[in-house]
Amino acid sequence: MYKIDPVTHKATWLGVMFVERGGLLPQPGGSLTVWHDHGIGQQDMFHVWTFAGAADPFALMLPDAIGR
Amino acid sequence: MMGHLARSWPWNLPVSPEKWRDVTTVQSVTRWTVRGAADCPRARGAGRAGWSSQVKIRPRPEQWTARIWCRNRSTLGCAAEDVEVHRMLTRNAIGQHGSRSTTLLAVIGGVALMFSACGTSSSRAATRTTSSTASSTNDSERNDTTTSRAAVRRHHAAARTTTTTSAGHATTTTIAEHRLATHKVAAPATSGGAPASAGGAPQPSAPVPPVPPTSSGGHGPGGALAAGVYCNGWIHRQTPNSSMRVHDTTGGRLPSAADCANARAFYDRVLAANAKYADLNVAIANHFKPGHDAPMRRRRTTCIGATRDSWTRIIRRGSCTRSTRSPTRPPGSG
Repeated sequence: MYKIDPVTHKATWLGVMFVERGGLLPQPGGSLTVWHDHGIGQQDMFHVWTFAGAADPFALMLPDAIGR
Repeated sequence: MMGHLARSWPWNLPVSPEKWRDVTTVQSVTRWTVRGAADCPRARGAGRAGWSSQVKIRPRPEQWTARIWCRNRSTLGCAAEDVEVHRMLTRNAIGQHGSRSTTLLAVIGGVALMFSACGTSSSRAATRTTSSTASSTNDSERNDTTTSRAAVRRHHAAARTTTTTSAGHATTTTIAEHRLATHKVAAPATSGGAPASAGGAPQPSAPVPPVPPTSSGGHGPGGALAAGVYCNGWIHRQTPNSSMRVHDTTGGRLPSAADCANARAFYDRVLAANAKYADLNVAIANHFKPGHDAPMRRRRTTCIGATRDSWTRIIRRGSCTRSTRSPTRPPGSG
């Protein structure tokens, strides 16, 4: 996942996202590493935020990772 | 509305009334697939692109069941509208009448339990069952092609019942409750709406196993980890967004020292394995394509993006990206 500056078009790497559809959803860090989806029928997602200073490297969404 | 439905269905289906009679005798024919959206009421108009319909006919010793599904593949994966029961015919009705006009009498907006072809888990089947119930309610309300007044009354009664029960369907998280509601409502709606036949309403293909409830507020079955600071300040967990459903098999158990250590090790491995993608060009060279996190309902762009969070801002600038592949998994990450 990247954030791209609309002016400079520079891409900043924010993290990665794992995607699963059904099946086993591994949680290597227990409750710290949880999956989520955005509604019925949607795929399951798991984020790992890699940018420096992330408040929660396994936050469900970017605002949580930033520390809203 | 009535005229439109009457024109569009069933005459434009490849299964003509004459064919229907054949269906009752040709045992080998079990399925038709049609392309097009003409028989998908929700697919008419501007949102028609991407819709297709499918007719499935399932032979049974005592009755024939035909179901028309409308699918929309334009959304990511299997959306809720992926399984939408529109019509149901039974052999009994056809057998009793057998003519084109009376075939319409059998066209009752049926509420049926069914399983989606998209998805393997029982929970997905259950949730889609719920969705199909809600969807078919609308169709039932619109399906006024019945010419029998008694059938119309039964049909409307069924529609009212279903509508009332599915009123809370806007919240898509209380799966178990909806599933129960589906069971309670689907049967009377179907039997009430179906023509008076000995065969009655078709039953679900298979029982739906219980699904743990998922409460609203972003907590999955059993809950999720509460907001707080964990792992000696490394993780500042926030309350999950209420629009998301969290899947936590631990039920929100407080992380142990081992969890923190494992999470740290996992994080380090992910970082090491994917650091090369910090350069977007490298990612693009490895089949990284624009994508999205969650489906966006308001606007369709190349990046069909998230809603209700900052991703929306990013996406509307036209800069959202997501790999169509999962990132490189660290060794042993499962």
